[in-house]
Amino acid sequence: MLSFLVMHLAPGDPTALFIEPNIDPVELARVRANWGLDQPIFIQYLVWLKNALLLDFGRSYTTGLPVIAEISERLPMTLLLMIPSFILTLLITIPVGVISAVKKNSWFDNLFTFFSFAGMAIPTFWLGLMLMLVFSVKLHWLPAVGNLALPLITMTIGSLAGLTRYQRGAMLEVLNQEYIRVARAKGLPERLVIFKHALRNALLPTITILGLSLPDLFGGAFVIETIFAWPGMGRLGVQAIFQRNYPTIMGIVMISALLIIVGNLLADIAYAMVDPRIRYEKK
Amino acid sequence: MLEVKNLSVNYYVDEGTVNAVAGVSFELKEGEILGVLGESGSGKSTLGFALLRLIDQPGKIVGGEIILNGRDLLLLPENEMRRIRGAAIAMVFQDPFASLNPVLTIGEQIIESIILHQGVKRGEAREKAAEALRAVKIDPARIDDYPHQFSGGMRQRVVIAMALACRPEILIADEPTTALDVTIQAEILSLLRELKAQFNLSIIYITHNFGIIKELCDRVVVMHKGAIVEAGEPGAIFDHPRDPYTKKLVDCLRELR
Amino acid sequence: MKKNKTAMFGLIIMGLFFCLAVLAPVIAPYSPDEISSAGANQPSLQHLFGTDDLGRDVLSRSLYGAQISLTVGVVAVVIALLLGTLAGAVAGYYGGWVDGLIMRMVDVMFAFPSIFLILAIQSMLTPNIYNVMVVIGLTSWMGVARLVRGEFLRIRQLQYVEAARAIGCSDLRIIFRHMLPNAQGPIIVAATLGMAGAILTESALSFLGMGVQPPMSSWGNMLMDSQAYMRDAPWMAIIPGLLIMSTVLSLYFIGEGIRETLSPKERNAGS
Repeated sequence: MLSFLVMHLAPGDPTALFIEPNIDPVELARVRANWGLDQPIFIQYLVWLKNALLLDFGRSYTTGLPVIAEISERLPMTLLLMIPSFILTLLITIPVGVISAVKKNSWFDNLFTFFSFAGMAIPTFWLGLMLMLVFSVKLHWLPAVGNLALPLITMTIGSLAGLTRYQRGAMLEVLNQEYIRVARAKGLPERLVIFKHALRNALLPTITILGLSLPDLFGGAFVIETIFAWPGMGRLGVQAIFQRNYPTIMGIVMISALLIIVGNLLADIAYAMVDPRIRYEKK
Repeated sequence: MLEVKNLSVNYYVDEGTVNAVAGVSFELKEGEILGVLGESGSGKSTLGFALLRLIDQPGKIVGGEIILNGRDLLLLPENEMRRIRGAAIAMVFQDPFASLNPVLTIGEQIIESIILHQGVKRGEAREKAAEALRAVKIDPARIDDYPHQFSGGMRQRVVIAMALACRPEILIADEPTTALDVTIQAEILSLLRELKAQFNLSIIYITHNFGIIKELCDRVVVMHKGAIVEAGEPGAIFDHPRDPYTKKLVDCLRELR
Repeated sequence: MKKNKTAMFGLIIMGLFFCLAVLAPVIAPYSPDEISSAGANQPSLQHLFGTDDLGRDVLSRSLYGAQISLTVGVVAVVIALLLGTLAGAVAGYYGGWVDGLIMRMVDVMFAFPSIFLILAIQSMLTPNIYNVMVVIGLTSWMGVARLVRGEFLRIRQLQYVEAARAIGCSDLRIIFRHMLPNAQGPIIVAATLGMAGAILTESALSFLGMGVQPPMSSWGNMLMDSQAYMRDAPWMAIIPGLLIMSTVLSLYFIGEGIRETLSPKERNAGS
């Protein structure tokens, strides 16, 4: 796990690709000199890396403000979107997945399987558009921008779909295990079998998958924020891309990667807490 | 004490209907060890599950009677059957590595059975669980350890402790030693003999290994393709097999010797 | 083998889409750039899907859009498969530090939100359909790599690999003739899922303006155009989205169908 962490501190490597904006047609030599871009690439990279570790990402090309300041301003808005979405997703996918597995092939299962497939196939941004269309344009129930509801719903539905299927699969696998049969052979009531024996085991892979879903969660945020004009880090990022605002882009990439790593770390810890096999050393 | 009459179990799969158990009848007397001998696919494990009504989709018990101390188990409502499971009849399965829930301590897995069937408080249940562990020769101090901390043989002993914790009358053992090394096998077998004496158990021992049956069992029924083809004492059957299938089994065993 | 109804359904729909895409130039009632109407019209007999804000026939644009989406899907997936299979095979076969190295790379790449990565890369280039395909392929190989590696690790332990080595087969030969063919099941499933993902990603990219550029009509950039007209011409937004969704859904069905065919049979009735 530690080596995992160390290795991840090297995401600078792929981002080295971004350092030299060769195809950038706009920047004048003067401006380049100003920004230190006329120094050899290698030096630039090292300088950048050093600064990046201190969270100094330079200044935005467009506004001249320190990138880190702009990001810190926007990040809370993004988190405001992501964290409730994450919690909502958790609250919905686990019960639905479990019930689907327990009542396999029932109307519940079939219905929700259909929904999860549909949810996985819908392009998130289109879902956002459609929701906007229905609720804002036609029904006038919710404002299209500025309100948390629509972006939150869009984001949640997006993550829900795949995760629910996964949870169902995990639960099904667990239910097939011998120790479940043993539990029944002991005469345990079915409720106990499911909640005490099956669920705890089924949660383990789910924790891992939740950690793995973080990059997609961020990716979704970028698109959703753009559609709903949500003033978060994602929107800043997309704008930065259009403006070829490299320092900002880099800053956002790094921060996202960092947050994702932290998230995965938390997931690893949570996993270790639940799975005694990891907690205790083998004798 | 246990009488099985004409028991039949079918499995309904895409390819058709499989008569896993076809009209099986036998008796289990008090204090005896009955062997069920058969190869893979003979229906012997299914028979074991059927006795506890653990048959699930796509299988179904389709006929017969299972009479325990005068009551037909097949007629009982589910919640009564649950009271039988683990308390009157207990089962030990083949794979010790898979039989224990990895996220619960072994103590917990024994205790929950005790609390459920004997209605005692947790403290008392814990003591009883410790006793059960002692009976299978596991240090009771390890009651809060997790399954992965035990070896295969020890895990199987934990499973046996779990099964016997509520003092059942009948123990069904479905190939409990197949997944273990031969030396451990011997240990488990002698343990079973001891426990039988200690707790006055009747045991149904399911296996494909005639050698074990000869060593352990008082009587044996031989199963082939879902039906019982021969029954009697192991020694007698070994010397004078009547059914052609049994003859084949015995011959194989002779040759390997 | 394909007794799975949904999979068959998916296959039929995909087949349909492919045919339509290939035949687009022939069956499209209008050319995608042709302005055949004054401004946006509702779907009618003349224009089955209506027209967009510039008066172009949405149906025709959709058909050409199908060409684009499917092409991008296929090419991107092929690239991802090639890269991923190579990486996974090498990692799985040789193990050791090679495996470690490759897997670290996979982990690092997984940590980035791919959309953003792609957008960033695209921002450095001039976005067009070609680099979209390549970039998507380059950022989706990781999943395949993990999968292939897993399969190889499993297969490596099987006897016939030992046997092949024992008779002196070269490593390359073993990988290609013996191991890969046996890993092909999961790879095919990954291919369908990958194609679905590629289509979704391309549409998102084009939607943001960093993918296929107008006047080429990708379903994604049709959606981009539709944003301003949601109130007055909602069909502009509804239709391309539905098309994307059906394509992706069909691919998922096919993938699931293949996966179910491959997976080991349910627990047998015991002995």
